Amino acid sequence: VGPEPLVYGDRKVYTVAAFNRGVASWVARLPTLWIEGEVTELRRQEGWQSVFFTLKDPGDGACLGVSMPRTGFDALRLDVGDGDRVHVFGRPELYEARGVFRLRALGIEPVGLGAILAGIERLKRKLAAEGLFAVERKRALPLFPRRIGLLTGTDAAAKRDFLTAVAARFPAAQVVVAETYVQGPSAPAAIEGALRALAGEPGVDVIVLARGGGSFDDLLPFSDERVVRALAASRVPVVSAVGHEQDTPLSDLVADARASTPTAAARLVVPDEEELRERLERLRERLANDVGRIVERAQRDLAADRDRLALAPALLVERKRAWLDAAAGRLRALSPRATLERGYAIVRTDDGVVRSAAGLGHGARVDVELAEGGFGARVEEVRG
Amino acid sequence: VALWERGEQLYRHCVAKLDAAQGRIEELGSKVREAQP
Repeated sequence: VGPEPLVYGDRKVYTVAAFNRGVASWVARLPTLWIEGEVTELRRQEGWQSVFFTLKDPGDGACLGVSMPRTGFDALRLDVGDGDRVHVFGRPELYEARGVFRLRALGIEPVGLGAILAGIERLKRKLAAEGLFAVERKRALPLFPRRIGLLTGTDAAAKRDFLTAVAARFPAAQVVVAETYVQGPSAPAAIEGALRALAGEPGVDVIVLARGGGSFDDLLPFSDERVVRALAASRVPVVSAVGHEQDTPLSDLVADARASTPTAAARLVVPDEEELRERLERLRERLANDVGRIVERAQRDLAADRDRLALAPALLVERKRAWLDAAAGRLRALSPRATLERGYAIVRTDDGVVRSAAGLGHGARVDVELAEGGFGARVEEVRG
Repeated sequence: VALWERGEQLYRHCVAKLDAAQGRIEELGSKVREAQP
């Protein structure tokens, strides 16, 4: 039942509310459908029940307001922003209070570049969850690679840049080049195969995946799951030098090292010979100086030791002689001869030195020793 | 007295030994000096 008009004579007049309600009810009967356009003016706030944006036709700029329940929008986990192309599934509606016509969205899907980006984002999350981008997985590049594997496009400027930089920095380096498709639908499989072949080359201990930049589409193979997994599984460290700063390909995240250009990759994988020589020269000079100083110090120590060694026995003899002289002094101080010199005499019997008169009898024979000479005698009187 | 005399003998013996050692040291010292470049 439609809204009832007011009747003025032969004129039927509708109120705004009645008109809006009538149109809204008519619009509500339209089917749900898909509409393609670019997202602009996306407005989303925590306090709002709905998310609003404008869908713009990139051809002629025609615009259509879109609303979507915020919970539904958030559940899609879309990373859409202004300029992203999307397909919106929804039903047209008229917002009666304001008479605003808009699309009530039930679903949104990115298309074109947006869809690809969303796919890459999903793959990135999945591989990150598997730990493929973890810092702990990164391997150190060899300091002096025996052979470098270069995987690049056929007749690519990247190859020329890399080889030129390697030759300039470290002419002795050996590079094994594998040229393959690096763009287009066949590129992921080609890159995967070439990687495996390069890693199998004897002596190859680092691989550089090089491309001199390109459009977003050109670089898509470097974010392909097969390529990313092949890089992760490579038995030798890999440097990703795909050369695109703005949209980091997944190869950059999984590789053991990344370089912004093939020339920068060359700087990563080979040392600069001239710099090495200068460093070697500095080290050689330092070594010579250090050795000279060590030898000088050793010579000084040796001379001091030699002097000490030369003096030590003489000093020892002197010390012993001093000790001996002191002992001789003590010996002389105790000398019985010195006592005899002072007028004393030593009296002996056959039993030895006489220290007491008690052991002597009258007429006993004794020997008397003086400072000079001696004599024999007999005891005439014994006193108590 | 005999003990003291033995002490004196020992002293003379030690002095002789020290003199010999000193002579030997001086002899070796001069050899070393001669051998130095």
